[in-house]
Amino acid sequence: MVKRGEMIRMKFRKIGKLVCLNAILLIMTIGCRPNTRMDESDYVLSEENQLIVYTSHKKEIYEPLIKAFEEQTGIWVQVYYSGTTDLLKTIEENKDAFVCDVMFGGSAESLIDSEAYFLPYKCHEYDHLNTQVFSENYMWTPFSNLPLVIITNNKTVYSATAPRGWEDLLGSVWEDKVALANPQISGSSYTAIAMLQQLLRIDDELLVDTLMVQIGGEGESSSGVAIDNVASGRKQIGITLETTARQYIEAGENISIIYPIEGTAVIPDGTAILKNAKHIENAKKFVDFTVAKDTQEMLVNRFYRRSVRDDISCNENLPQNIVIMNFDVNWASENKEHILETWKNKSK
Amino acid sequence: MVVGFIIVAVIPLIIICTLLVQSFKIIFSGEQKQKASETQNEINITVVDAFEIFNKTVIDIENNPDIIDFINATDNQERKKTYSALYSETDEKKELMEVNIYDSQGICKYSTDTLPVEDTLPLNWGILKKATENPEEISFLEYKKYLKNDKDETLLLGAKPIIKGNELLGFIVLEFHDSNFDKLFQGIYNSRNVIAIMSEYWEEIYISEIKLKESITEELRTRLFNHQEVEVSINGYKPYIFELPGTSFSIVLLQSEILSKNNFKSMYQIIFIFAIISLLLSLLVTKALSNYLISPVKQLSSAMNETKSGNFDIGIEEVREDEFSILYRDFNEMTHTIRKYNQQSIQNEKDLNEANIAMMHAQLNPHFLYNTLDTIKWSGVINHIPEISTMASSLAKILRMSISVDKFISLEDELSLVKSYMEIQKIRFDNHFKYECSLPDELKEALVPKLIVQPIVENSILHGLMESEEGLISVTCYHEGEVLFIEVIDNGCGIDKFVLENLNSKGDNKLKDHIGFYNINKIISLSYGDEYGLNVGLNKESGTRVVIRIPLIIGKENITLS
Repeated sequence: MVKRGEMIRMKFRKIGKLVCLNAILLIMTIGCRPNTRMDESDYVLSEENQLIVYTSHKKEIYEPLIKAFEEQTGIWVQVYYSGTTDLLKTIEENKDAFVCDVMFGGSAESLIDSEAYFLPYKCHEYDHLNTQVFSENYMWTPFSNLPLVIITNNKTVYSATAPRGWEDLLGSVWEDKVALANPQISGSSYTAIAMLQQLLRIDDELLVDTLMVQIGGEGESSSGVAIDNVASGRKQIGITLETTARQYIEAGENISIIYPIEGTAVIPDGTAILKNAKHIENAKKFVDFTVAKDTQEMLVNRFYRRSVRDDISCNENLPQNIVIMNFDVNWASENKEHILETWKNKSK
Repeated sequence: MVVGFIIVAVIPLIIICTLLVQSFKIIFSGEQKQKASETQNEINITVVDAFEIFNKTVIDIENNPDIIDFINATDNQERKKTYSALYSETDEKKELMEVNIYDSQGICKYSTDTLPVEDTLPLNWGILKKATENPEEISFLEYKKYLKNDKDETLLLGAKPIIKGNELLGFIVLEFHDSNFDKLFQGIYNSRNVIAIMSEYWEEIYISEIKLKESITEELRTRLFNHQEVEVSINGYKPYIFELPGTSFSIVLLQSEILSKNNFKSMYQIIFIFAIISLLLSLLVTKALSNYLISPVKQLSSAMNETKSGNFDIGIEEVREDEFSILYRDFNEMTHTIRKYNQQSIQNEKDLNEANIAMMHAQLNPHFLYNTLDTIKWSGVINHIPEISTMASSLAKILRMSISVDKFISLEDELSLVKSYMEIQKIRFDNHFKYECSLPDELKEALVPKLIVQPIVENSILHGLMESEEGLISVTCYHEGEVLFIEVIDNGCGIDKFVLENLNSKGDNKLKDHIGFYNINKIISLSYGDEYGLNVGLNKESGTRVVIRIPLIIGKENITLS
């Protein structure tokens, strides 16, 4: 009799436990449901309609272009913005994975450095392109021609005393007064440094030392900050791309452009398709778009850039003929790591 | 049982509270959705009305020769006239938009604003390109100025080409500023209900709340690209996305969640805390209840344990007034009784010891007596005086028996002792009486306490037969079942009635003169219990009759006092 009573008690306990467990599970499921009842599949972006772009162009350049591209093609573009070095580093670190479809931006020598990660593509307008530097294997496509120029602050620098060229810029008068972005961050800044080295034919150590004296440090945190410093008067002169300088002038900033008498490097920036791109067709369309006549005309008219096309002359506000220096882009790209290393060491 | 209490305290609470919270959530989100839907309708109506105005304005301008014929006019007078025509068309709509007229080269010729946002617009790019591609309707394109940020930004442009015949005369371009949108949606949006307009590709055109500029659409876009759920809360707002009819734009309606995820989290936390409190309370109650019910049982059990180890001095205090007090009372009575019994037992043992000691006191150093008696006996034998040797040897026998440690001897031995005693007495009293003894064979080995019969016989001699000439003492032994009877009958004068009563009452009154009886009775009752003992009575004819009743035990082993 005792045993039976015990068995019954055990049974009740079991049932009780089951009931409790079930109740708890029920509650949890009820709890979960309302959230997922919302229609989640109303918004679906198909893969064919996507393009992922890494860009180092400023927003005022890439955004209108991207929007126009979207309008024209119906492809949705997701843009990630950062400095050239940063982006290329991310691409390198994830070289076996997918990070983006297109690298939009970056001067020629940085693109040359990273050719291993790109997919070769000969754009439709290839025959119309004309640049000092280009990729023989179509690993990247040039976008715009960018001469380096000297800028001066109007309030503190008079045309009489302004540097006429690069040698003047490196004079002791301008010690601590030169604005130049840290080449470890800014691609265009490195290009300027490489160009100076080729012009002056001095070794890396001396080059870095000299520049750091002129800059008064390791350089501004971005090319934007560098030009801001000249515009605001914190620094008196600087080195930047012609296009950026012109845009600032258009915006009413107090700077002037000087085209160096020795000549200057006109290095194109470019666009490249990634080897691991997921949306290759869309990427190709984008590359074609960047060198299309309409787009290149926009570059010239609105952004004061020089087109890479041979059938478009530069903006009428810019000097048509400027002295162009022979720039060995391969040498620049080979030497990049060493110069940057030296710069880093001397920065401490 | 504790587990049961806990479950009952906690589980229903959690279940009910969770159900409440969930149903609240559901009802609440239902209401939110309802509200959103209403707002959506409002917005749709507003926008549709606005579009009608845009269209009408554009058509009016298109069909106004005072304007379109003078797009390229340079004469100030003509221009003034054109301007007034333009103003009259656009006067009431100043709040909604600015109207610009561009020529066929994309140069702005007229503007209802002080300055148009762009002096020239490219033909092959942007809004004019789109307008050229869609000449039948107004094309819209978002606008953004980067380097120079105006206070009241232009966010959107709308344009339509002016075509007369087959010739493109120019463009009507509508400018929409931030303030225009604010005005348009006035009354619908507030800090809790935020309205945003997105382009076809979900880029932000306008948002009514400055603080949220750019961030909302960016988040929505990212979710879209990452295939995540889009209409989930952002920054404490629940987004509702719907397309604007007649355009490629989408409106995002952001309803601030009055009860955010955090609020619900807090609610669940509170439920949890209450569950814990409930748990603690139930534990306390369980403890109190168990104290009330279990501790008395424990008390009782431990008290009983004490008694197991022989301690009967304990008792339980009765402070309660329920069934447990009854138990306590009964327990206390039990221990009391046992205590009493123990005390009685101890007392009995004490008494027996006393009797033993009393007996031992009566004994002298035996060996000296033996030797002397032996010498007397041999002296009697040598000197041919048989009475002396008889008396000496009988006395020695009696002494030997009374000295021996055996508390119990065989009936045969006891009666031989009585015989020896009688031999002495016969010589002393000059054979004035006779002694008879009958002992059946089967009772010879019956065990009896030592010196149980002799005192009775002595008593008969001393008190009964003092006056008689022909005294007779007979000892008869018989048994009935398991009881052994030893009768001692004398034909003397009979025992005094008063004394008789005292003796038979078995009371503790120790009559001085009859201390022998008392002792025998005591020995018997201690050895065998109260139901056995002496019975003294008068003989039928004359004399006294004493019956000893003891259990019949045959054997040679020592028996201990039971």
